[in-house]
Amino acid sequence: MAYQAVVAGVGITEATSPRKQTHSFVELCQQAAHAALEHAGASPDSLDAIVVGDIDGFEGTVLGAKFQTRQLGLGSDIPVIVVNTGGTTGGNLMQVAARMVRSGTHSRVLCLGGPTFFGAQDLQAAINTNSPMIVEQPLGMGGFHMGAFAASAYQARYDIKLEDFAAVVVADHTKASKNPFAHLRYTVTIDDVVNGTPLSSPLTQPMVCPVSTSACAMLVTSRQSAQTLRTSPALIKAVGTSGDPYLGGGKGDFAAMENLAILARRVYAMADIRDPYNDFDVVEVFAPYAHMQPMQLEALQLCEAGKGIEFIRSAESHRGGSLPVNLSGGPKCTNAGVAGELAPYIYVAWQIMGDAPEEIRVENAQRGLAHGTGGTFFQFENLAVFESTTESR
Amino acid sequence: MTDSQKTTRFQPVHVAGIATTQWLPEHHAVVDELVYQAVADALNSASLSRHEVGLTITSSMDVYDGRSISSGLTNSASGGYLRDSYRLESDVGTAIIAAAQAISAGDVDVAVAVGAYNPETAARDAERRAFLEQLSNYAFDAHFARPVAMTAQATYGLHAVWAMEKQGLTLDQLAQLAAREITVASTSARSMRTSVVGPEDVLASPAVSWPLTELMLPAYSTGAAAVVLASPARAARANSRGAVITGLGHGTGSYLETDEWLRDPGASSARAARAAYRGAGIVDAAATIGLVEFTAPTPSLYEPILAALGVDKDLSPASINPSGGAAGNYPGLANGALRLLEVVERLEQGNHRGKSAVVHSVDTITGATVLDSTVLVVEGA
Repeated sequence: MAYQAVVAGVGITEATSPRKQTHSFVELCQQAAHAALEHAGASPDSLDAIVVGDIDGFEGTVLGAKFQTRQLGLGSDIPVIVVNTGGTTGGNLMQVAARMVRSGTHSRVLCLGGPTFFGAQDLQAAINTNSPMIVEQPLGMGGFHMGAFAASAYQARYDIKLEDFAAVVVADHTKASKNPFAHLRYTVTIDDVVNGTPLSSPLTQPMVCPVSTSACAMLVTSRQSAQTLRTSPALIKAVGTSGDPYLGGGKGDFAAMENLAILARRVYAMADIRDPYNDFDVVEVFAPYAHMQPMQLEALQLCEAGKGIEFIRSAESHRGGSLPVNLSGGPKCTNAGVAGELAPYIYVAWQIMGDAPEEIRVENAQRGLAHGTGGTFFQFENLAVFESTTESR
Repeated sequence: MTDSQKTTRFQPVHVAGIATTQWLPEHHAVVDELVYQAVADALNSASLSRHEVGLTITSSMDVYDGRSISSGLTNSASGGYLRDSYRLESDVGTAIIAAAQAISAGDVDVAVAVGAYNPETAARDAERRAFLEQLSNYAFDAHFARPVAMTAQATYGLHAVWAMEKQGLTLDQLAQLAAREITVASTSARSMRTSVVGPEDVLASPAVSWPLTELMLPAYSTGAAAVVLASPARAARANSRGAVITGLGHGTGSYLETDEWLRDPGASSARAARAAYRGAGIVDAAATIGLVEFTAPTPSLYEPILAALGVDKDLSPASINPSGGAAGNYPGLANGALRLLEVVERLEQGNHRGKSAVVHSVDTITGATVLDSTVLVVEGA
């Protein structure tokens, strides 16, 4: 017999820069894990397993989950599953946990994403180590260099100006300024963004995510197990991942996110999503660079091709609009590595459970979409559709 | 959730195909080549195509592969192009479990688990072994264990000493057990050790970590192994192997947080076994299990881990590690699939009709301290 999997609790810590962070990696993970259990009303000894994300080489250690999970106050003998898929690690945690629960072998699984970038002295140098060795690595390419490929292609395809990308950043910061768990909570202007330090054309520093420290945790349970907990759980209606080839050239069209579009069709079919814009009440996408959010919204069929920025500019994508997007401020304003990648799933599940922070809450949200992406050229994508269980409980 | 509350039987999953690369001391191939070869051969053996795979799970570690996010390199080779896929950093036994769970959950009909182990280094012989110990050291915490040079082999030595001092195990017993396992393995087609050895040979082999010698440690090899799993209905329409996974369990040790790794190093295996037996509906493992393929990294860990599996200790030698186990071939992260292959072949030969088999594997990058353990209950189909 197979089971339905739900999110019954979420936990997230406040975020700041590594320089200002006063808590250790393990302390942040402790806070997030226990916040998720507290939210659900679950005890640590009720957990069957913990699914943890590590990105070796990006962290101050390797395979940290082997020992860090023993210092969380969750017991020293809990089974640990270590996921490492680079930038998609956080987004894949729930995919792993959901199947453990759906198969009936586990009833309660905690997903944990830590502050990956805490120990990195030069993050772009770390990112360089996972790029192809023959051309990209010797050129010193880091994350935003590779991200700029798509930004340039998207500009060329749709005649996008720097001011258009800046509008995405302005929207994200406006939203993040209201989220108590965001890192960059200040607002910016178009001029601030356009005149920011150039990083890799066309991207300026304000168009690129910060290096944040925070942790996230999510309790995935069977629907039956959640009945003894205190939240109105979010049903994990559909999940999926999709991978493009490793080399950037295998992506095909850099001005369109084809891989994500293919994945969206598959996941939407599973969840019976036929009219994405109207079927979803809330969306969080993992868009660390300004150009990514509009491209993702287009691939997800939430707006027409080339119209992503127009949608983000409109009131419809803000709180109170017809389809609020990235009310958290997204990774553009808070990116703590694995925690940052898990965050879209956390926020959407939180919204569907009806417990998201009041400042960013979408009232009566019934169905939401969470997205993650990663890879040297963002070749890897993941998605999940959450649905409210309130009506049926 | 207490154990007693979880009485759900696991929905059986069929082993559709298994394939491995050649096992060598070191492959002159990059890791994605090995992954591709194993997966392609496993799918071909089952008459299945890549397009029928719903999920691929790779088991590898960046620290062995010599690059960060090595899963990006191996994903397409594993069949993950435009598919559901992810990578776990542990023994492939965890990937087999995750693949089986996805099928049992009803999410996919066909899933692939592949483990790859071919550490990237130009060093040879003793220098290479030292390099691998350095990698092992990195997997320990940076503040306490790493500075005092904890490594896999150091923990093995420490446990062996503890067992000698606290449990009366003798050096001769360690040597005899190692010699017996290697002698059994010497006739196995996949063994890296092909000569019969006696206890004196074991004791005379190079010292590694007192009291352990080289022949008391696993016979390390490199390569990749892939397992194709399918729902029973889909397996019936494939050229499937004659085995079904009816239960599975996973346990993780306490690291250095307690003295469990010295006092009871079989604890993580026991937890995994309990979960696997519960899922398979096995109440009396000793009466039900007729074949065991398990992984003991050292002779001092042999008895604790075998006891943890709860099988009948009086089973014939042909029923406990008939391949010689890790003493004959231990391909690192691919070990869980090799152990499964050894069991599937014997079940297909019909020598254990009416009995279930147990497949046990461990991730050993932190030696005896974590022993991330997986247990599969397998029955002939």
